[in-house]
Amino acid sequence: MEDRPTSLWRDAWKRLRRNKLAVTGLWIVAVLVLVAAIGPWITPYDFLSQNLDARNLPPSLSHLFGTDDLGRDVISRVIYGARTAFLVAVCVTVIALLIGVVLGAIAGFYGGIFDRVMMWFTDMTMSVPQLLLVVVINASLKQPIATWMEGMYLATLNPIWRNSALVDFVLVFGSMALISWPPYARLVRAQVLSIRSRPYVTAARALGLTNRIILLRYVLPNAMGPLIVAVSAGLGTAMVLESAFSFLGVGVNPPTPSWGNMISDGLRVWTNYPHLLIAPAAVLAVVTVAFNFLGDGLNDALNPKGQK
Amino acid sequence: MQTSNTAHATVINRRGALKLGLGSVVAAAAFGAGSRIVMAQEGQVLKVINPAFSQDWSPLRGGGVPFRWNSIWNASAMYFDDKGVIQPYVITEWTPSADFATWTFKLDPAAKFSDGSAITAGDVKASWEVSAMPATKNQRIDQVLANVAGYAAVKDGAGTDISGIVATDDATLTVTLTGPDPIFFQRIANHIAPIVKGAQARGADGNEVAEFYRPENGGVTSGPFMLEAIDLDAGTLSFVPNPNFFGPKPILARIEITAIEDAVTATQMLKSGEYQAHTELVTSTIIADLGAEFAAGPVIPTSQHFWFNAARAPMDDPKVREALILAVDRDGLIKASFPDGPHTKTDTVMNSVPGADDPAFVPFPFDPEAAKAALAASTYGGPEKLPKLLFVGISSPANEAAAQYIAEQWRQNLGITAVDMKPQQDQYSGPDQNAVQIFRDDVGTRVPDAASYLSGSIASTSGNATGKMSYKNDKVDALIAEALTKPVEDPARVALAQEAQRLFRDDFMFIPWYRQTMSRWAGANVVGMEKNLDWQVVAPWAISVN
Repeated sequence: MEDRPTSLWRDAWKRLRRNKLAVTGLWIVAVLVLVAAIGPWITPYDFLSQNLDARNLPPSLSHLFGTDDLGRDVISRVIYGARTAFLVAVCVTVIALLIGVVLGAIAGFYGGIFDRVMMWFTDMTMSVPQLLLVVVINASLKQPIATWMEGMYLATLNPIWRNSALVDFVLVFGSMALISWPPYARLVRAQVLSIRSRPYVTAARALGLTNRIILLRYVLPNAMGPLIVAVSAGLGTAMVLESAFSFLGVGVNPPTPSWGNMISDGLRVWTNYPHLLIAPAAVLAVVTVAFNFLGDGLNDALNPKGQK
Repeated sequence: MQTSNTAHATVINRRGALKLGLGSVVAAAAFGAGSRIVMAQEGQVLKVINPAFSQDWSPLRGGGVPFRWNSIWNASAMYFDDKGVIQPYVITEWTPSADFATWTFKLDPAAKFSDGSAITAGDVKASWEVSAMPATKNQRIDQVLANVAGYAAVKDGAGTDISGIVATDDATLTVTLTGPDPIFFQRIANHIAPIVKGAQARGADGNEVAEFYRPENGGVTSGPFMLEAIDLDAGTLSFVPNPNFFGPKPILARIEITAIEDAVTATQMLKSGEYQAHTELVTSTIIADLGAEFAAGPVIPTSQHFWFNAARAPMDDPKVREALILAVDRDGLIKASFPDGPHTKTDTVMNSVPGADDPAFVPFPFDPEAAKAALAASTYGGPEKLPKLLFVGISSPANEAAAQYIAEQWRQNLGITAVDMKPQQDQYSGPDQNAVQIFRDDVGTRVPDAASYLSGSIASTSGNATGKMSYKNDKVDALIAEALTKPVEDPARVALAQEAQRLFRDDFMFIPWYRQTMSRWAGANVVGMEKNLDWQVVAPWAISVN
């Protein structure tokens, strides 16, 4: 029997499957993605529906995570909050990744003035405090855009313009992405600097391939390993950031649930109704740890020589 | 034989160490207990939590957190007790002219400041004048002196002397008004402009002397306690009894105020008994945490509502306003926001004043079908074309619960889904300030009078009508104006106010929410912390800690 040809990715997948913590993390992340995707159809109750005769109920069979101060089912809100968290995480990470990869690759591959200007730009961006930026965006840009969108809705009656996710998620958290790309840019630049002097890149040059083709076909694919690790860690970080900003009241507006604003609300009454704090906080903790396990596992799988 | 004196002097065996430790514990316990006994013998101490690091404790601001403690260290002209009955204080007699346009006040001849000097009519005049100066920034001085001749010029910065206030002699004050005001004597019965020593509080330019009240500046006071120490950075103040107070001798030996901003921490410290009182603690679990007694108190003439701005779409359509009101189950609204109290549901604008209970007033019903019909009959025809609704003033857990409940009622009963909420209070000044249609805010009065209540809340001259509702109804204005000219004992004063309120109701301008209880915010072991409609402790000298 002929052995199947091996590859970096197949070997990495084999190594990842042997890492139990990473596999656990992967499962949790997979469940999160599934829940975020089909959440509204699997929640036991409408996440907005109130029942004042069932306020602050502790966890039970009919309400697995209990109910909040307006009698809303907490697990339904946590599930909907997963959608918020996942949307934010993807939004922030994808935008940051796109910017970081493009700038880092150009800087690393072309060097010279490109490299100096882009690294200067990277350093400057890293000096902007994230919280301050989000507060400024909230105070200055968010409302005018929301007002403009409301005008568009009234003109067209198309419900897409009333989708608060567009403003809350894309604008506010998207703006976070605008300052979250430097770590990706630095990572890609370092990888590209290392790869561009490899023999197969020199060979590609000798064959007369253009810089664009060399970069896209030979350099970037070989820089993906560390990037995937960074992305998995970045997703978890973005979720924590979303929770932190919502906790501080500069993120998602009520009554839309997010884990951060649920933790904030729960903190006010934790002595009387601890389930209102524990449920969202525990879910956030588990998901964050899962992303970290997965990130560590990917790091070990894609960089076996780096293992202790 | 060799001896070693040093060994005897320094070596201590295990048993010795244990004895020494035990002795230390016993001594500490004995002296500790002793010290507590000494403290107890020195008198009772009331320890209070303040929710903010307030940087300005001038008693002349007429508002803000420090204002809530004005009565413990400042006397007022008169005051209302917790039952709403007026009581003499610095002023003991008040007599109107036949047309209620001139009032003569007599001062208590025994009234003294904490330095032993007499409180004179000149001091009362100076206190009111310095409070009226624009630089003083007294938030509510209009409620006290708006009708006094010459007040407007001082308020506008055109003068320093209110011509309508004349100190006839040290014990007599004459006040001339711009027109008849049968309840002027009630308007001065509060701590909005408390009595301070004119020579100390007022500079040569007529303005307030900066930090005149601080102990290091020799600040004297007129109330039962006086400021002993203040540390704004640490957020601590301490008050001790005023030895020259002209009223009853205070029971407490000391009042200590400490800033603790976090409500959860404050609740735990109150629960543990480390502190006994709070300036204003508003949490959704206050009754469960600290007991009903902590939040108990009289219902005061203040109420909270959600006001509609009739100048902004879609509230410019009365049918929309009607739909939004009828779609809300207001029994549920109070249950969602204050399920355990202390506040109670109301149907009317005015509360807790004579005439507030009007049998002819028809409360807004909860009628989802009528609400749907009203929305369908509006120019918008239904929820789809309705502009997004924006609440402001959603700044506390109870406000948030109420606003979310209303939004959910609209979603379920009318199909309205586009609702936004902002925490800013009062006059919202965000980039979309011209789009705000719903303001959560309180209205009220510091006099137990229906006409005054409505004058400050729905008359077109009130800040509430102009700033929040853009409301003007000439009939309502005329009825309130006429009511204000009637003597207190004239039934027409109340009847006219009630009629004005009924007309206002038919304009569908607000979602009634709750009438306010003036909580004690003090543990059950604190006696005498009852407060009045002026948000002040009625009799600070009677406070004791069991």
